[in-house]
Amino acid sequence: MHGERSRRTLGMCGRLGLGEHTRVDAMSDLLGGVRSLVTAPSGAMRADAGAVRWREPSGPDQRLGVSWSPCPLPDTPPASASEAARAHDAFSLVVEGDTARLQAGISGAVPVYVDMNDVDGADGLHFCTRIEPLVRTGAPIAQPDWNAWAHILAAGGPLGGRTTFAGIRRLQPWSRVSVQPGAPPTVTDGQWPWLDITAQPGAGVDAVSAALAAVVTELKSRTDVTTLLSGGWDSRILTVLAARSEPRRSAAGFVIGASPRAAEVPTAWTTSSDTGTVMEELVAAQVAEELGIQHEIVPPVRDQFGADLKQFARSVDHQTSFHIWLVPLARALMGTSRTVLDGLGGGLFVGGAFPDAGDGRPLLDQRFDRLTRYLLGAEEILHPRVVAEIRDRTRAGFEDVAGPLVDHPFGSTFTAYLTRTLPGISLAPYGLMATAAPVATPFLDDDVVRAALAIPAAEHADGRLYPQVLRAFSETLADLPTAFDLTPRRRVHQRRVASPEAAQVFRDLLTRDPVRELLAPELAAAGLATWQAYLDLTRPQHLIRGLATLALWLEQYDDVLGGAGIEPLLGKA
Amino acid sequence: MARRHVVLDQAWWSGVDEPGGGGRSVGRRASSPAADVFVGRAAYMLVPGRSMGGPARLSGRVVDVFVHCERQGVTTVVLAGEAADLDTPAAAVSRYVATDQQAVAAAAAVRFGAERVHLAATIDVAQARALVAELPFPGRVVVPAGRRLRGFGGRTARRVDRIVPIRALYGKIRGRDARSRGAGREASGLPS
Repeated sequence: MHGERSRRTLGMCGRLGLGEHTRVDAMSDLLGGVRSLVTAPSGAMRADAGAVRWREPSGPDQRLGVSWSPCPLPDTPPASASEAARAHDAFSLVVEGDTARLQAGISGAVPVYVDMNDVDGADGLHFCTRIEPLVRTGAPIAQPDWNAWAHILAAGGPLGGRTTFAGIRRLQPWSRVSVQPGAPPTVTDGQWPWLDITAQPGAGVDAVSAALAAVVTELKSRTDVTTLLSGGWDSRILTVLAARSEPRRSAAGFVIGASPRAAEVPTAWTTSSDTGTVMEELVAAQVAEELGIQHEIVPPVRDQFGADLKQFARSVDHQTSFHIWLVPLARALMGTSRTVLDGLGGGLFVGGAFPDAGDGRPLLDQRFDRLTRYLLGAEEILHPRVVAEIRDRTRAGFEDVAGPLVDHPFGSTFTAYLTRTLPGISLAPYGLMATAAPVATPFLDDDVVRAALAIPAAEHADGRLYPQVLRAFSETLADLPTAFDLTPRRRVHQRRVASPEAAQVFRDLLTRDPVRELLAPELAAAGLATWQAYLDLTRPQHLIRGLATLALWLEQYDDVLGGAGIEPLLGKA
Repeated sequence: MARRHVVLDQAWWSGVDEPGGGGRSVGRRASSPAADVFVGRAAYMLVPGRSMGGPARLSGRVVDVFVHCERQGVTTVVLAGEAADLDTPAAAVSRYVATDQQAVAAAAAVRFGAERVHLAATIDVAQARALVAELPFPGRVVVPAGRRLRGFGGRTARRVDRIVPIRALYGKIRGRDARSRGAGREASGLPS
């Protein structure tokens, strides 16, 4: 096996099965021009910086594979697509004679979309890391997926692999799609290995610390890194590991001095999370000072709110409105060759976030209410018919995903992961930030997740594992309070999202037809002060952000939607 | 009655007024006794911009005193003598901006919002009393005690997980000040 590495970070697209290359070329152009790595009769792939091509010459049918990741892969990738998925969370296309298959990464956090509208066509299945190239090169008229939009509004992201367009599906963790001549494509979504991880007697945090250190050390051996640093635990742990000097070892394992990369002191980057406090920035500054690393605070610009909103919506393919506040950092990091370390998944797999409330109600109800808490009192923002409609549609989608997890020992963790982290939060690093720079999420490494889930669920409660994990690397930072610990109940800073400028942007977007029909009539007629007041509260703010995302999506795709109306969200057929 | 204030002067944050000097915190704690004594009962902390000898970085006593002000609800105001003062970390974490330069005020309004910027007759710290008297910004707010400190005196319920009927939060929202009761009480930055 041999590998080769490309250099740019734009994404990936391709075709699975026999067909012409025309559409793949067109998608590549829309991505910004990614290079050809495989052009075979039964499959094609164009990809950027993170791709490695490999070939197994054994056997009568040479197996040709390409693995891709948003951060550069090692020159010598693992021996198979499943190993690439497990060891590097990489996506792979494997072409073997006249058959071909896709393998998704083990975490599923890196979005890869497949146009399943092609299933009956003669031109293979097309896939891409962005939705827009699939839509722009597909059928002239695209159909909205209103279930997905209900999920976006009620929960923050489309559930179960849906996207904003009917028939375009996001690959789920560890899923595989196979195509062979004369047979329909086969999609395998089950058998996700993480669901089979069981608690181990005596498992402790040392294994979590060691796994995190190993994955960051391995990353640093092949790419320079930089970190996003908030006032919380996940980014603190990653920053400590990024800043560590790595001992260099001889072939025999002896420590022979500092690695050459030890001189590469990373910069940590912080922006305001726009929650009415600057404690995130302050605690991040304390962490950076303790580590002796460069720290950059990139404050949001009030006047750029509208531009940030549009940039975010487009970079996440209009599927979520979580973490719009991250846009200033994506701007600041645009074009860096360093891999950005993001703490995605740490809160769930290590921190025990989103536990069950334990209030005696059925677990599925507790978890659904947690996910859709934005709907509590939503009639002040949305038309009452919309509230009922999106609740019903979201409940149906939620049960498909969360139903099988009810009795799982980490049921609340995996439910939150599959219904919130993947559909919504993951698009902040792998939609937004990945447009600026290579991205890696060490907390979603297979070894890290296995080590964390080997510890019984109850021991994860209230984030109590975090200081123990960090103590292996820094006693001082293990004892430093987080921003969450320190933030006063009353938050006095003006939130940009609730500023007059932002309220104006939202009101202009939401009071246009057809989105205006979805609004509560009183809000549609309200003055700017009322909009600001609602935007200062998380739940109504979430609903308003979601509607704004819908408005921007309708505008962006007006030419391919064929006049599709929003009536389904009002419960009208 | 004069508004209580304190000026974050270099002598304090650099520690040169202390025997031994240095300005670094000893360890990392949830509270800083030095910052507590320095701020006292002040309602405002004026932070000179870099061009006026203010801090270029958030470190040592500078970050400690900002943490203290944030926890205690003390109003922080950065004094911007020139546009470059708006680029400093201290400006990024201050609640308001005061300047005596029209152009700086305009630049600050674009960046931070007009309601967070005050064009003053002077920002000379020698005349801080007069400056504070004319500031249109509210002073220190009372922060309810009993904030959780996990691992630092007892664990309390995670506020983000508590579900409160939304009408209870904003039932009287129309016409009220966005900064009044209930404002910003939920965290947007939930863990993933």
